[in-house]
Amino acid sequence: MGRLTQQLIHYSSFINVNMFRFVEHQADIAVELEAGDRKSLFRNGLEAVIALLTGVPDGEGWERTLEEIPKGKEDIFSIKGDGYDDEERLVNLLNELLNACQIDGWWPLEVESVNFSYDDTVRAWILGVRGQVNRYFVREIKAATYHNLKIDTGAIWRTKVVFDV
Amino acid sequence: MAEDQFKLEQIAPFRWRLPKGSVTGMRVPGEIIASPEMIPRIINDRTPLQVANVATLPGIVRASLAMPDIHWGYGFPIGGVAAFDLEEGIISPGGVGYDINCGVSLIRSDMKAGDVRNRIPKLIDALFNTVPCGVGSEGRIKLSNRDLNQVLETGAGWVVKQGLADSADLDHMEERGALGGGDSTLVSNRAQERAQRQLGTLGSGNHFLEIQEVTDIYHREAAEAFGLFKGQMVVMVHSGSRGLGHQVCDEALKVMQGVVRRQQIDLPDRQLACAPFKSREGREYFAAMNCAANFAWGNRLVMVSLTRRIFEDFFKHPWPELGLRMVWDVCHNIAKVEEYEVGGRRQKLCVHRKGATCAFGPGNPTLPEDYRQIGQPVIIPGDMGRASFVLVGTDRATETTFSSTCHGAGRILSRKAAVQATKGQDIVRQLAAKGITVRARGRWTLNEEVPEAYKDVGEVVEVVHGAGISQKVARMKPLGTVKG
Repeated sequence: MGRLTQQLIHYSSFINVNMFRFVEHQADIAVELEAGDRKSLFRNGLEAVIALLTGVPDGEGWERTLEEIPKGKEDIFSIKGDGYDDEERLVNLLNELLNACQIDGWWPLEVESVNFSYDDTVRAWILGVRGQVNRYFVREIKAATYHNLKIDTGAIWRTKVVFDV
Repeated sequence: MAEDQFKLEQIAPFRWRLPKGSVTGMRVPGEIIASPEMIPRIINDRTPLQVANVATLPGIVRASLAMPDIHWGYGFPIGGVAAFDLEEGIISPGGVGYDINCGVSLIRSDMKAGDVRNRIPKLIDALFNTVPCGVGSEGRIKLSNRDLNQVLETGAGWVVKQGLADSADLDHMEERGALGGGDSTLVSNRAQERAQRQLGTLGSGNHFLEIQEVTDIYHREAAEAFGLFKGQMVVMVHSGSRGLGHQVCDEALKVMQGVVRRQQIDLPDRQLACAPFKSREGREYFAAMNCAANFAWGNRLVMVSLTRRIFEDFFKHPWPELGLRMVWDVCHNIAKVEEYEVGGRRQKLCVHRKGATCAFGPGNPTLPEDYRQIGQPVIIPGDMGRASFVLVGTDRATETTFSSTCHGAGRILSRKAAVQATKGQDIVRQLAAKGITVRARGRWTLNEEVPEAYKDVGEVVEVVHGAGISQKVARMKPLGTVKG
């Protein structure tokens, strides 16, 4: 089984357990994240960005087939999100992923791991394929925004992120 | 604010006030330009809440304004206008948006649409194959660092200097295609890197290049001044500052989160992050934003130039003989320093227009001589299935809306809803049945941008005309559209 097929299965499982869900936003795109802990919430945010960019499959009608996604040598790249609080760290991390994909040419396949360092900076390691991948993306995402961003903590960690598209 | 708190008071035809106190901390009232028929939808969308939130920002003067194409945004509403005192007020990247100087160019021609109608599909194909469009599209121009710095500081002027456009084009562009306060040293390497291959690219989303036919003339004198006539073929280009603008906004928002904390500015939404205009952070953002705006003017003018070359090849005549002159170029996401009378005294203000268009009235000294007596052309793009408009600015806009008017149709369906509503439909064929040729690069672009996803721009235009903040000059219908 190839890595990309695994990617499809991987995403299907995420959608089935509803770890991120695209919700109505009039002009842009919003996603609700839910997780059992802090690290998973950030991971789910990254997964949502990957689905938004690649459409592999996001369960909302933007799906695409394996023929439409780039192939190449797989490698792992890292990104980080710093900030005053978790809301800032989340926005910065998601925007770093957008930059890695839309500027540096990474086609993201899956999130390998997410960790917080002693100063609360969050780092993530992503498996991807690097090259001229921009034309394969489903859409251009300008940024994750701070609009009404508030992370609810507790037994369930929840938030909603609005992306400017 | 619950929906029943949106107590909008009609203060004049098409003008509705959202009283101070609708949310805690409002420094001025809100004011929405809309028809009575639009009000239920506006309330249902909760956009008055975003109008009220903007009214809490330090230094705001007169009112937090919204145009009739208002819809829910992030932080500021789309269709929002807010002016801030330069001494005590703020500047907010969220009040400009990520696509700094997203805007529209309109090129006229001497050709009648009826004479070329059968050739439109081939012409659209030629444009589609030549003007870079779509997600991550890159242009043919690879800018050196030196050239990029010049684009950032001189905008459309750089394009003219390269011989790609005519100096007369600058006369017909807002701010002559460049804001003077740009400082390229304040644009990060990351942002510059994004710009190096994106000059002359359309991008994706709601951006487009469209061939249109003028179907109606409402204001003969203004139409003549702008070179427009019934049956004429014109070309509209809608794009912005591409990745550069996104990066400038993103980086500034990050900086201003810190400013808000340090200065203890109380914000109802973190996307409204801002800094005092006079602060170092405020001035640095303003200078970088000016650079991004200048890049956008250069970007659109390069696409105008490409369009002219394609028309030359297609019609076998030099573009001046085809009459492909710039009517006007407007921006609709910007913060600019302009002077207005507030409380009986002239005052310099930082006017934020996020999804709103400048609409200077007759006599404005910044307008070129050929338009000064009539007022500034206002270009209003619609959706790809119905219409677009040319309006003219008025004195009333100067007095009531900081010389601002609407910017387009405004969405009524989210992208997700639009895709779901049109799944399985052949939109290309549907539009072709209406005589409109459409080419799109993105797989879902047409679904997301389907005409039904937007308000009827005609209704929006009737409101700004009725409110007197601009007057109708001409209506155009689409003949062919290139989408990203």
